[in-house]
Order: sequence, then structure tokens, then C-alpha cells
Amino acid sequence: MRGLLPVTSPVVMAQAFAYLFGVGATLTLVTLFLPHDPDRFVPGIVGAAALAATVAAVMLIGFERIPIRTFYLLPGLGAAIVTVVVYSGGANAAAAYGGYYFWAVLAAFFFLDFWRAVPTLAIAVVGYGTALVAQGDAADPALNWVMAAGTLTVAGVLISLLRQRSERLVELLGEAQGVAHIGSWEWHVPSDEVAWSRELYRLYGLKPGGFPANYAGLLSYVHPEDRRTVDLTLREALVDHSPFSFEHRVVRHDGATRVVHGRGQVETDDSGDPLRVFGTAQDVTDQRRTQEQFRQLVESAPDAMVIVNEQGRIVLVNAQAERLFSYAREELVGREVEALVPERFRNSHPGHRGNYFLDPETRAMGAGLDLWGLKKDGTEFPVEISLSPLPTDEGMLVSSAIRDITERKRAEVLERSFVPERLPEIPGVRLAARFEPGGAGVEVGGDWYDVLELDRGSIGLAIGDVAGRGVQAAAIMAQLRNALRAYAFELHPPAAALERLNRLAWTHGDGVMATVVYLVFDPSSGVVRLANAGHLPPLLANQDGSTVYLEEARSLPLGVRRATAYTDAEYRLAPGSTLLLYTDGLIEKRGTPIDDGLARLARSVGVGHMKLEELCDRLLADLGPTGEDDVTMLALSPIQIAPERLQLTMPAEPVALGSFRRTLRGWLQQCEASEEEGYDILLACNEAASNAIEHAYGPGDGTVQVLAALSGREVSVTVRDFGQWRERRNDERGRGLGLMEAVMDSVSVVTSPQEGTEVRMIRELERSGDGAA
Amino acid sequence: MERLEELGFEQMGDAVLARLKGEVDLSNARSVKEKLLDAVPNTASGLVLDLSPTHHLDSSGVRVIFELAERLDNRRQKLELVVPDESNVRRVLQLTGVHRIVPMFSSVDAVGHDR
Repeated sequence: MRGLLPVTSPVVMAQAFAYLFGVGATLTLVTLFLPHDPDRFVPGIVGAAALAATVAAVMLIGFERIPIRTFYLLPGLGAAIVTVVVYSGGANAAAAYGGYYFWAVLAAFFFLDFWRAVPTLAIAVVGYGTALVAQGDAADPALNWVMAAGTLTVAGVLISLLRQRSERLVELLGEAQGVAHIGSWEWHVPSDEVAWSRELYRLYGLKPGGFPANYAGLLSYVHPEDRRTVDLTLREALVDHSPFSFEHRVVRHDGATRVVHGRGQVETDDSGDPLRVFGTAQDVTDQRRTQEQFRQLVESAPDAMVIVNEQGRIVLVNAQAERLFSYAREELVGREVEALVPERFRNSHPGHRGNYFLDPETRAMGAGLDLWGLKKDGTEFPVEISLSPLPTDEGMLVSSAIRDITERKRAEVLERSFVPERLPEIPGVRLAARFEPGGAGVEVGGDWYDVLELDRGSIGLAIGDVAGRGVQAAAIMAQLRNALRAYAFELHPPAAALERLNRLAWTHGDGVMATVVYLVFDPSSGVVRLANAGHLPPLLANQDGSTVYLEEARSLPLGVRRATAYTDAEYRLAPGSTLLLYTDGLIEKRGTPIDDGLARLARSVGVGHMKLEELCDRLLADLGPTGEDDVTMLALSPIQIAPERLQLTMPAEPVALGSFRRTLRGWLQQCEASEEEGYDILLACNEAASNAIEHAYGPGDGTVQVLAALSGREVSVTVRDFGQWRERRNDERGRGLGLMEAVMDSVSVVTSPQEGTEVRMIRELERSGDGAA
Repeated sequence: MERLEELGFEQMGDAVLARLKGEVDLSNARSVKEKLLDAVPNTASGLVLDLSPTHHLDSSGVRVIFELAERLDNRRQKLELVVPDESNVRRVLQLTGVHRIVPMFSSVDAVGHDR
């Protein structure tokens, strides 16, 4: 760059020429004294003095201080002066003046475009040619003209070629600038002349040369709002001579605005006065636009965004981050991100940060850990942070989206209070429930359910949904839930309970609206009595897989009218059937009609008997949750209360074993023994009975008595025969006994010669798999 | 009276494959054993007894298996059992030590692969 600079700078070219000019003129001056012709002496002295005075004046003022355009005129002016001197001094001096003409032509062609230099050439040729002819050295005057024109033209053309060559270098530089979108400029301070590179003209949307080439002209293209800054920066630089840079907008000739980044420096003369200022200007509009878009993107993010560089310093934050941490933007940018981390994590945080930069990927920070943020005033708050790497020109950045989860944490605690911690175990029914809070997690939903053990073994079930979300809906829900409990324990029938609940909801005002199904189930009769305040109809699934929605007794939601009449509807539930209460989260999917949802639910439920827990899991898998709404369901299935005792007497014949096993298997199922427990007990009883049949009696006589009892979760079985203990085949009997002992908790065998043999076995059952959610 | 068990036979390479469906107890143990023995000719390499479809098998059934193993062994023939892992019958066989004497496979295919 530096090597090319003299060529690009007219000022430097002017200086270079001024020296050449000075040297050439002085040489010419010397030649004037060579011929000692008194006729030519005086005018020769005058001419030489004029030239010397000019040169001296130029030297004195300083070449660099003379406006460049002066040099454009100088060769022609000089040629004219010399010609006048030649005529006044006589023709004989002409040859000596040839040197001067020569320099004038060189200067013209060096400085000016070819055609602009031609007039100087013409003057010089006329002057020189006339002088030569007057001197009359040559026999033919035409020869003098040819010599004058030839010498000077060749010199001019040669120097013009040289000039074109250096212009080519300027062009090359221009192309380079074009590629880099960098223009350069130079301000010659004393003469207030400004020169621009071609690229700079392009940047400003101007044709080369198309602007007033002075400082005011330069400023006129700067955006009015930025003009003052640019002006001040440059003037400051003129005073302190330090390199400077600034960024400003440019209003182009066509009205478009570009953003320009400029750098420059000041050159001073020997006395320390600013001589010229030169600099570069880069069009950074696109970069700034991208940066601006990025900044706006960050700004518009819903979460607080903190962007951090590899050194852990904050590069960019948005307004949400300012609010969240109660810092002003300026306080955060440039600061270490650890300022936002509570004291106790500060030591370990840079390590985690470093690890992230080693393997940057989009992920949640500190999976499974509780994360905390620190506000300016020192308060901590729980946060959730997701990190994404952001490769940029300035290296890898990491953007962290930070969300305050204080309310969500609160919501979680609240949500857990919406539903019973565990379902009670109530004889005669199986119960299962699911509660999957939806939403973004921050807002609490308004779903709830309740299971109550009422008087005389009856059970109250409620499920409801308060319109809206958030803490307010939750508060209303809690009131309704507790009020319904109170009415339920007062043994109001469902319709009466809901009427009271409606009055309560109405007095609450504020447009409270809630839907509720409340029912009372009596396990001894299998009768369910229900009332429905605008809620989705419960679904009854029979053991055979048929389903029906219980649409009766459906009335208005709570809270929409001062007094709504509710009615009770009665249904009888068969053992093995399932009654499902649910909220809309289970059947409402965005964009599908509610009837489709109901049909899908019925299909999913109507697949015949399955355990309630399995049914709930299946429904969750098939139908929800969508993550938008709460999904709540409560399922009830009446079961036959197991007879506490099973007593049977069978003939002591092997063929009776099959039916014995079937009877026992049925009883064990009613006891809610698991499949494995049932099989074990069955196997042990079968062995005991087989032994009695095989060994107690002769063929065709006698009976075997079996007594089975369930007490709590303990199954005890007694198998007895009344025969004489016949000779035993030890190994087989031993094998049967071994099996019994292996599968039962305890086995005892009592044999008496009179009363036969009694085998007593006990096995404790696990708690039934259905029950608490 | 309905039969407790149902037996089906087919050829499986050199051996006979027998599928025992239903239940085996004191009432049918002897007849099951005889039917199985009858189904294995001297020329067969052995018997593969598939207990996958067997719902119930008590100590009488265990006795049948032990006896079968002994009788076939005398005839230089091999007895192999197929009992799925999750089957209740497997529990009985393991409690009585059958698996220590008679090779057990979890599926018919597994028998083939083991050869």
C-alpha cells in the first residue's frame, strides 16, 4: 500500500514534479549565461530572474502548500514567459531556451491528461520553432520546425506513456478497493483539496470527480445526524495528530443511506502543522444490518438472553435480561457472566463454562440440577437455562436463554395439592387416577379430582375443571374442591351438593366458571348416583367392551347463573365394568372436533376388561397429554367383594381335581391375588389334594375337604382327608410336599390315625396392584 | 367329561415333537405318559416335549417327565423340553429339579439351534 501511495496522491506527484521543474529551470538558467552576447544578456538575465523568482517563490511558500491546480497551469505559463523573453531578447537565444520548453512539455504531459497538455505542447513548439528559425542555423527553416515539434512531441508522448503506466497502478488499487469495499481519500489541509479513490466515489454513489472536492463537500454527504461527530473527530485529529476512526452514515446521491467505517491519520509538515489527512472508508452497511437484525432477534426473544464470549464476558443482553437481573445493559456488557451467578456457585462456574466451549451444543444447562440466578440486589431466584453455541467472526459465543421459574416452582407445589396424595383403599372398588399438569409449566391449570369415603361404605368421586389457568384459577379450584368436600360429607345427594356449590361459585363473582361431575357410588348395591355441572359425560365401559357415555343429568356449569337446578341420575355398575371420569385435556386436540375425541376415547376404553392402572396408562399413551392442557382422569371399577371363606368337599378321585382347581382359581381372583400368587396357591392346594386322593383312600371311596379363608391379605388353606394313611411312596409324596413348601409361606401336616391327615398352608398376598395413583 | 389335555405330534428332524396343551394332574398323568412313549418309535432320535401351551402341571406331571427321561435314556433316546421363560410350568420344573436332568429350552426354535 505504502509503495503505491505516491502514485495515488496528486500532492506527492506535485511535489515530485516541483523538484524536477526546479532543477530543470535552474539548468536552463545556467545555459543562458553561456553565450556572451551583450544583445541577449539583459533580456536573458530578466528571463532567468523571472524563472528564478518563480522557483524561489515556490520554494519559499513550500511546494506542498501551493494548490495543485497551480502546477497544472505552470508549464503553459512558463512556456509563454520564455517565448516573450525569446522575442524580446532576439532570435539567437532560442536554442538555449529549448531546454526550458522541453521541461514545460514534460511537466504538462506528466501532470495533465494528454489532450489538456496539447496546448502547452503547441505553445512550446511555436516558441521553440520560431526561435530556431530566427537563429537561422539550419539552411531550411522547415527543418527547424520539424526539429522543434519532433523533439518536444516525442518527449511529451514518452512522459504521457509513463503517466498512463502509473495510472494503471492506481486502477489496480481501485480494483482491490472495489473487492474489499474500501475506498481511500486524502485531504490536503492547506489547500483544502480532497481527493477520493474511485471506490469511494462508488460508495457514495457518485461519478469520479462528481463532488465538490473540499472539506465542506466531504461533510455534505455525511448523514446530518452524524456530521457533527465526523467533524469533531477530524478536527481533534488535526490538533493531536493521532490516528482516528469513526463510523457514520452516508446519504448517497441517490438518497440511500449506507454505513461507513472510517479510519485515518494525519501527516504533518516539519513545523508540526497538519499537511494532509488520509484515510480509508469501508462500507459496513451489510455487517451492521446483520448485527442489527441479530440484536433485534435477541431483543425480541421471550426469554432473558445473555450472550457470552469465550472469556466468559457478557457481549450482549436484551431488555428481558435487564429486567430479570435488575441491571442496566451498560452494567452487564463487558462484565464476567459469573456476576449473575450466586456466590456459592461462582468458583465452579468458569469450569463448567470452559467445558461447554469444548463441546458446544444446544442443550439445557445443568440437566437435573436446580439452577439459580442472582439479581443486582443480591436476591436469588430459580432459573432454567438453555445454551446454544453461536459461531461468529469474533470467535465462539454462547447464547443463554434464561427463564425465571419461580412461579413454576410455586405452581408445582400448588398442583400437587389439587389431588389426593394417594387414593384410599376402599372395599368393593378399584380406583385409579392420573393427573398430568399441562401448559408451559409456569401456569397452574384448573383441573382437580377428589375421592371421599362417605358414610356406610359409599364413595364420593368428583372431577372438575375451572376455566382459565394460573394462580387465580387454582385458588378458585381449591375453594370449590373444599366446599364440595364439606357438602359431600354432609351426605347431600350429588345434585344438591352441586346446587350449593353453584351458589358459592356465583357469589365469588369475577366470571368464575367451572365444570364438575360429582357422584356417589354404593359398592354394596353397585348403584352410582351422579350429577353433572356442564362437565364432559363420564364414560361407562362394560366388561364385554361396549361403552356408553352417561349423558343424563347434565346441566349448566357452576357460576354461570345464580341458581341452576341440577338433577341426579342413577346407573347400576356391573362388576368388572369401568366408570371413567376425565377432563377435556384427554379428548380435546387442537383442530379436531370434540366428537372425534369422544369417539377416540370410547374406542380406546372399549377393548374389554383390563386392570385400571393399565387402562390409565393406555389412555395416556393413546390420547394425551398434548402438553397444552391438563390431563386428568379418575377411573372406578366395582369388584365383587370376595367371600371370606371358600369351603368345598370333593370326591377323592383324580378326575375331581380339574373342577376343584377352577373353583379355587375363581376365588383367588376375587381375593385379588396376582397371577403368580394365584398359581402358587393353586399348585400347593392341588398337591395337597392329590396326595389325599392318592394315599388316603382305596379306590372309589372317601372325600377331601378344602377350606380356604382370606383374612386381611393372608390366605390360609386347609386340605384334609379322613382316610387311613396308606403305605406311602416316599419320593413322590416328598416331591409334592417340597413344592408346597416352596410356594407357600408355611406348610404344616398333622396326621392322626383316627381322623386322617390335615395339611395347613398360609400365604400372604402382596397389596393389590390397583390402588393409590 | 372334557379332556384335560390335548396332545399333538409332528416330526422334527429325527426326533418327535409333541405339543402338550391343557393340564396334567393325577387324573391324566399316566395316560399322557403312555401316549408320549407310544409316539416315539425306536428309530427316532428322541422326543421334544413342548410345554408352551401347558397351563397346569403338578407333581404327577413332574413324575411323568422323570419317567419319560429314564425310559428314553434306556432306549438311548433323548428327551428335551420346551418351556417359555415366563411360564408358570417352568417354576414347577425348576422347584422340582427337572432342569438339572432334562435340557430345557425357551422355544422350539431354540432346540433346533442348540443342535
